[in-house]
Amino acid sequence: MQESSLLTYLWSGGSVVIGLLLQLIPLSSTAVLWRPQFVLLIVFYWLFRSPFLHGVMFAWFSGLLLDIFVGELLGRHAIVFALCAYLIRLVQQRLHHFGVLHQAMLVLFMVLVSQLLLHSITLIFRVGWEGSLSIAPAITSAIIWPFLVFFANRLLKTQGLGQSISSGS
Amino acid sequence: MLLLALVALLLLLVDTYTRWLEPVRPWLAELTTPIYWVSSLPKRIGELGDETVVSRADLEAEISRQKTQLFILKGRMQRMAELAAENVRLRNLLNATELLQDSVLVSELIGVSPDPSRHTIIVNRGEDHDVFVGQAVLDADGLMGQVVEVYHSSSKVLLISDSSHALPVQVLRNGVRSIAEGMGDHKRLTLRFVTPTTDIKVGDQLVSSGLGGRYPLGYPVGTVTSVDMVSGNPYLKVELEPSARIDRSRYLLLVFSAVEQLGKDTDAGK
Repeated sequence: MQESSLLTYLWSGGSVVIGLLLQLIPLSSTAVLWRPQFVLLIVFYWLFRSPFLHGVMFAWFSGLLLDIFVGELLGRHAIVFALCAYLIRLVQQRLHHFGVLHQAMLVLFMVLVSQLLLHSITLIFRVGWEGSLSIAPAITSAIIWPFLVFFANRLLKTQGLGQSISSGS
Repeated sequence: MLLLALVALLLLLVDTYTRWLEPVRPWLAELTTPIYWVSSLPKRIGELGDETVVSRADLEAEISRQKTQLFILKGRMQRMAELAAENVRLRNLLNATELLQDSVLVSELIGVSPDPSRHTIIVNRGEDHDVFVGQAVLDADGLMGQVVEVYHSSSKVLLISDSSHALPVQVLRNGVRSIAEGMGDHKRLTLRFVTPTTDIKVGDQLVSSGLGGRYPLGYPVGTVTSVDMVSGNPYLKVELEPSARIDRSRYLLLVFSAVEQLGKDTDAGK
């Protein structure tokens, strides 16, 4: 049991780094507005998949890692991801009954919440900042969610990692 | 949860209102550089493909185009040499100081801010190459931005299109001064507080004015694309298109202003 949880942590850590890479790939100035929140999606995946191993703490550290790489305000993504993970935790019991489309709706809503929180924090801490809030990342995140679940389940199954999350509708 | 939120909040406060985290930044940047490098790989591989697989006809066309361009530029250079000599003579006559040549350092872009509301990039030159905070950065066509953070072997550049950036400019045609501000859009800058009687029109070239002491004088900033009078507003709404290809250039020049170098030399001489 000890060994398998260590293995799971290795996989989740590795996947967060991959999410980070996807988040950092340079894109054109319009495409960048539509980039899904890859790191947050991967955090959600692990929260849904193995809630006993991954919780608020995991989300917090993933957020902090993203902050370090974005190189702006430290702790901005950390606090937002932790809050999102906490909100997910509140509906944890119901998650078992959600199909993948239902999950995608939840992801849409949660990414929107995270955008809103990130925006508010930036407004508070960066004086004179005037940015606009976009719902584009939430939409693209929800669209890629079913594919992410499908591929991640497939991959982790071949690696012999236990229970996967529902990918039916 | 509460504890983690508090720690994050504390971190935010410390980062915003104190300078305690400044020593940590350079080695965090060291840590992030390899990942940035990996994240730029897809683009690099694409470019490598473009560079290595080119048809013969394309290459020939490219060579003949470059030959023509070289010919034209050489022709212009002849005039330049003569003009420069004449300029020096005239300045001598006026007893004015000599115009100094700036020197540059070529650098390559290695990372772009993943936050679309923040226009910063990371280039592969840092402390090891004498890069300093406030240094001007150019691309082949015009002014790009300024260095805001210097790490060991890389540095962060704030682009002129960032919404927190402003730089003093002047119209090339008549020397009218103004301030060009970024709007968070790679293709647009705006001029603030231009009165309706100002002599400025669409197509005017704007260059850095050298006032403010950050940017050296005379580098192209942009071209005026629209001048509008908005009713109820005492100032004109003027928009520019930046000369530099802000969202595309890969190779950048870090400017060592001649005046600063002179200052450094005399300091060293003391």
